[in-house]
Amino acid sequence: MTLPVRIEELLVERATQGLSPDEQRWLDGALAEHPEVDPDRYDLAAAAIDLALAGPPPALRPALRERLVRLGRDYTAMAAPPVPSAGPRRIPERAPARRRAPAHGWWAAAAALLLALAGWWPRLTSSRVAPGPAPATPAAELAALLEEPRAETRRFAWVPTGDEAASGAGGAVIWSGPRQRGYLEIRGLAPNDPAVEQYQLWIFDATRDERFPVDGGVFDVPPGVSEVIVPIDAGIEVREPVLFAVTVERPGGVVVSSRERIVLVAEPV
Amino acid sequence: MSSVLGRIAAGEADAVDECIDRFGGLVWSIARRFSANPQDAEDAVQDVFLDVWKSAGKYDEKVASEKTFIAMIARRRLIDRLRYSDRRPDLRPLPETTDPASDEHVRLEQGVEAALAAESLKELRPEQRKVIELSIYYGMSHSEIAEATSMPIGTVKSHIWRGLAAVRHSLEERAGGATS
Repeated sequence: MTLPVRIEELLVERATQGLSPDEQRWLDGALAEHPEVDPDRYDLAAAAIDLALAGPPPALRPALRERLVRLGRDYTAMAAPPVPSAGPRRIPERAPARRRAPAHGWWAAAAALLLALAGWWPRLTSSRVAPGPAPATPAAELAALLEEPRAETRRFAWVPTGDEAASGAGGAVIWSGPRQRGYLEIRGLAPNDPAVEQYQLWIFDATRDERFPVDGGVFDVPPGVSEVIVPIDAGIEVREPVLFAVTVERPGGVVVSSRERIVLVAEPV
Repeated sequence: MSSVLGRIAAGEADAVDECIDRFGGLVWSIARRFSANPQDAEDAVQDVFLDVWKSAGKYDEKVASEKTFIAMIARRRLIDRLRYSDRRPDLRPLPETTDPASDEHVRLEQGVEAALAAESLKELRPEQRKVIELSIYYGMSHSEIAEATSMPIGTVKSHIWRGLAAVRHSLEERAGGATS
């Protein structure tokens, strides 16, 4: 069959120099209307050409291999048992959430943070798959994190940015560096329709290029739920988190954020 | 499942290590080419492997070899990083002819898809092949290639499309599932 010319063009562009957010959105929609098209057709061809042109691959540096092995251990631990669809959890009434009221000046801080965010977007992330493993009792694990020594657990307070979805929203991020685990605790975030859009978390790590924050995964807020606890699926090691941000993105998350809707940001408390 | 990716998808921890050992050099070589410095490349390699492990369940050995599949994932990630990074790798202007891997190396080491691609590239005119190499191997954008070669951007895009289409047809014929 003859594909619409524009689909062919964009598949070739993606395989060779990438797409803009608008182009990617258009392509996603077009491919949804043409399920017969193999979206990988040109990417695989480009990969085969790359292999044909490349010489024998070098060996990995031992230090890098060791980092990858550790990353693999973390991944395996997080990915097994098979990942369920991780949605937000209702907070049990007795959940030991230690919420902190936002300090004075947070609104101004949010504005400053938004200005700072202009520097890191647009940004790339992995294609999102199901968010990370949801523990059987997220509230219990959150409680456990809160009981850890203060030095090992970092807390961040959410500040809405003015987006209507987060009007009056608040809560905290609890992050354990040693465990490489954490939770979002969010109150008052508007419900989303997962078929239309999802919330996506970004983690800024001071040890990484700020233009490439760590993709923290996507999550939903179902109707009627005013408070959610969401396990953080960082995927890769987060060494020194300094800022968290939540955006609204298309279902499944994005590769390149359109930066149209930043709804919450969080800095250390 | 016997493929490494299949075993990763099934949750076998040992398969993750095997994946690193078998494909680490491949991913590193692509990452280094598309990154401005070794530190960026090392960060990119970690991102790529996470993508690979998360995508392991999508691997279909009837469509491509694991090596080609992983190279595809690596390229996607690195093209995205390159696109939005202001730290560009050193994209040296190419000589008139490049020095691609030998046919024997391609056949023995890089797999059947790479060998098919190499055969397809031989059928291209020299200027078409050069544009493909600048784009695919060196990661240059279409506009950068147009500037480097003094070709109109439309010609650059046409050469890239023809080269990719030729390889795609070869791969689809091999897979027995040509779709167009």
